[in-house]
Amino acid sequence: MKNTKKITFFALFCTLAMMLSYLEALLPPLFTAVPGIKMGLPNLVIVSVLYLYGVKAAASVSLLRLVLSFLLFGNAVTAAYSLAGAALSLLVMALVKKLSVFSTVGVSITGAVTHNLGQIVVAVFLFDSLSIGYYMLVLTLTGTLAGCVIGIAAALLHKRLAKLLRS
Amino acid sequence: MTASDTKKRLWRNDLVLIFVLLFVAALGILLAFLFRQEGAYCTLTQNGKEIGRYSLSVDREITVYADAQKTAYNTVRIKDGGVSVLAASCPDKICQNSRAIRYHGETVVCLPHGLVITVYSDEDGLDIVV
Repeated sequence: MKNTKKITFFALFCTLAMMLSYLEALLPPLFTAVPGIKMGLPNLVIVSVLYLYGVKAAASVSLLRLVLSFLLFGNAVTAAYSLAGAALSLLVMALVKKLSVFSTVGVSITGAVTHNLGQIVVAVFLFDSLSIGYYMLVLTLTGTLAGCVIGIAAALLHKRLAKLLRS
Repeated sequence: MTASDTKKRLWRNDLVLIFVLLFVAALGILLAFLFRQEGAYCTLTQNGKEIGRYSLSVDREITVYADAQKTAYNTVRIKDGGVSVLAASCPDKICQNSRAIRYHGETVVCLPHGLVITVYSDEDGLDIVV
């Protein structure tokens, strides 16, 4: 019984993460001069799962989301960027959470900023061009703000879901 | 330490993190803005390989193909000392929507086609202008 509930919730989280990334892709770009600025809506689910179930669960949801999005709407190039960003972001968030120096908001912010960092590092290597790194300045600014909002939302979600999942 | 003390400490750390990140990013942007230099030429690179180098003082349009069938293209426009992508066949059109760049180090990137346009300021690179 317990297992069934877990599987069902995992499936729900995966779907939610995937739909949020799709929804985010539909939104018009906020600021066309710097590509890559986004809310990071899927991170809402990833952060919540990280707090509810731990790193392994969050990694599975994150990976499944990437694979499903890739199969449904993606191409190989964007998949490489997404994977680098998501992997680095989750790794850092898990570490920061373990150190327990920040609340959900801080964890989410480090996740947002390192997500951008992972993608920029891949871009710098793929294009062999350091000047792409300049984007990181603006992305840090917007990533911090977006991560803040997502972190607050994730904290609220975590509080409510924790009650629901325990019952 | 009580639970509420811990919560307070975490919140304070969050605030420090937010301010440090915002400050560093804002300072970086300010410095980049203050020390920007007008560009003299731009390079086009495809998947890390340079495919062309053009002076910014001559207006022109260049079409670059990303595949052998010549269906995937980016049309690059140099006009009034700035470079932009006029048209592109990529799905996201991020490069096409980017504004024209004119300062040293600025880039326009087309991720799907692996194309990077970079502006440089020093004139010595102009030896190999196409």
